[in-house]
Amino acid sequence: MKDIAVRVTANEKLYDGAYIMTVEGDMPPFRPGQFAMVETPLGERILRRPFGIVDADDRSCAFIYQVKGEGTEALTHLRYGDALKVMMPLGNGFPLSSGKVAVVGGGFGVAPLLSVAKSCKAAGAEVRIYNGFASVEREMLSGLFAEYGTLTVCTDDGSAGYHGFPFAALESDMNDGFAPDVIMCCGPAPLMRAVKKLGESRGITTYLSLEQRMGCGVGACLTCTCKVDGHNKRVCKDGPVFLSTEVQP
Amino acid sequence: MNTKVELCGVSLKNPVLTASGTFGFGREYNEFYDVGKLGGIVGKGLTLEPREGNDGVRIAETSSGILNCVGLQNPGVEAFIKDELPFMRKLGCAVIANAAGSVISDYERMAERLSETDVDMIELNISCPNVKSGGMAFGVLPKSVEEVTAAAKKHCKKPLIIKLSPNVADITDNARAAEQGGADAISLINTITGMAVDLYSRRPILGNVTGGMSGPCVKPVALRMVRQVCKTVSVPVIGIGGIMTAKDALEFILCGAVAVQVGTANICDPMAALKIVEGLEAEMKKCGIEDINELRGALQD
Repeated sequence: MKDIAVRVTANEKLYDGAYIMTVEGDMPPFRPGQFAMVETPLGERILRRPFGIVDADDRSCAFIYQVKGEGTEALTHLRYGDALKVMMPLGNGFPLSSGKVAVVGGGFGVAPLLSVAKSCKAAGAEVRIYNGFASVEREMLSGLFAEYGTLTVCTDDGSAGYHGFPFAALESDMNDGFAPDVIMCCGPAPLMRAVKKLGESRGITTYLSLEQRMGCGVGACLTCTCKVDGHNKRVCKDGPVFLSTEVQP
Repeated sequence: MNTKVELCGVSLKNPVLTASGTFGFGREYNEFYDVGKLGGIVGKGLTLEPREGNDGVRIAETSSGILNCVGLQNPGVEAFIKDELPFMRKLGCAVIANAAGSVISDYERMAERLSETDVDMIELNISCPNVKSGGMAFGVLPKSVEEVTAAAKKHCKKPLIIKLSPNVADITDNARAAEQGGADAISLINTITGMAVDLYSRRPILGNVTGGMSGPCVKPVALRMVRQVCKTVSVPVIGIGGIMTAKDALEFILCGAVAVQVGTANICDPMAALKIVEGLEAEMKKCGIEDINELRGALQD
């Protein structure tokens, strides 16, 4: 992990409250599912914000972020060429699989899964992706996901694709004979609870990427903990990816 | 230029220490830079037995500060001695163990056990705001500050630092009590008790409802209390509270502190403590001093 001085190359609105930002700098290699701590330009908001890494190469990196408060709101005003500090890559990330992989994302949770699908596909995996959004207006990254596997877009309101939650779309495919070796999931807690239940009931190894309010991002301050087998572990350092059987999202 | 200071007979290559609970035992930040360049590390607060800490959300943000309610999660003193201390000792800076307890005998046993190790100093946390009877009980009233200090001191063969809470009636009474109890040094301030709420869900943000506030927003309070304590006691004082830059660090030394601890800054910027060390000489030049010791307590008030 490194603290990198980067320049913003793009910062575009996907929809109200959702932005995709790309930065340029001397980027270190990362594992799919790892994250970055991004400085905000608002001096009084002193903590960095943890963002999933959508994709990166040695010169650039992309993040998707949600506007939650003053700090992320200030980020939306950054323009081409603005300087920023980004600490990455952080956390453990998802394991690589070359078998049959089900990728399940919900809302902003799809962001760190793109590189998961990409790397598994490159390793020869059969990748099926189930991405859920509230509505078609909130759909994101579908063009890119479609390159790395069979994509099923799901919407809560039925405005696009499968009408329902993404775990239900996966369950339906499983009932039709799809037998994934592994499920990798990131999204809101109710989605992860449903995916945990589904994966465990079918005996499929399931990984969940958890979210928690975070301080340092490197494992020192012990503020972003979650219960793992009954003990407090650090989401930033011991996770964010955990086996579903270890955690209660 | 000289940045070396002496604290209770221990020579520090510079006065910059890390504050307990913000730096783990140094491992994480040693991946970013050579932590041995710091004056020293104060490790995560230890208890006799391992502790899981508090459940739920443990951190919130406020203007120019943060609130935390970690609740003394730590591996316990024995795991520290076995798994962490050998690593810390190799770093090449001073190593200070921070100890907390719930009853006086905990502090006695912690002081005794840590005295058998090769830590340089022991800092007693009698001011954790996030644990029921987690030390805060001892930190509030001067009488109990003196009692717990005296009890630990009897079992302590290392320099004993007492870390004071700012959540008290008169900080000078507590500082005097620590000195009378036998403290070799006093560090302050611990966090200021506060809270953060979510207007729309009508719930407190922190799992523990209240938490300890730290960061640049507490610096004026910390400077005031450090100044008051430096004028009250004759033991050395370690200044803590919102130090983000070398300039902030020197302001505490100007108010009388021998050394400082950098806490929240580490959480915001992994390089913060090193940047403060590296910025000292440039700031000393602006102050027109060659030796950092010239500045100590030189405030003309």
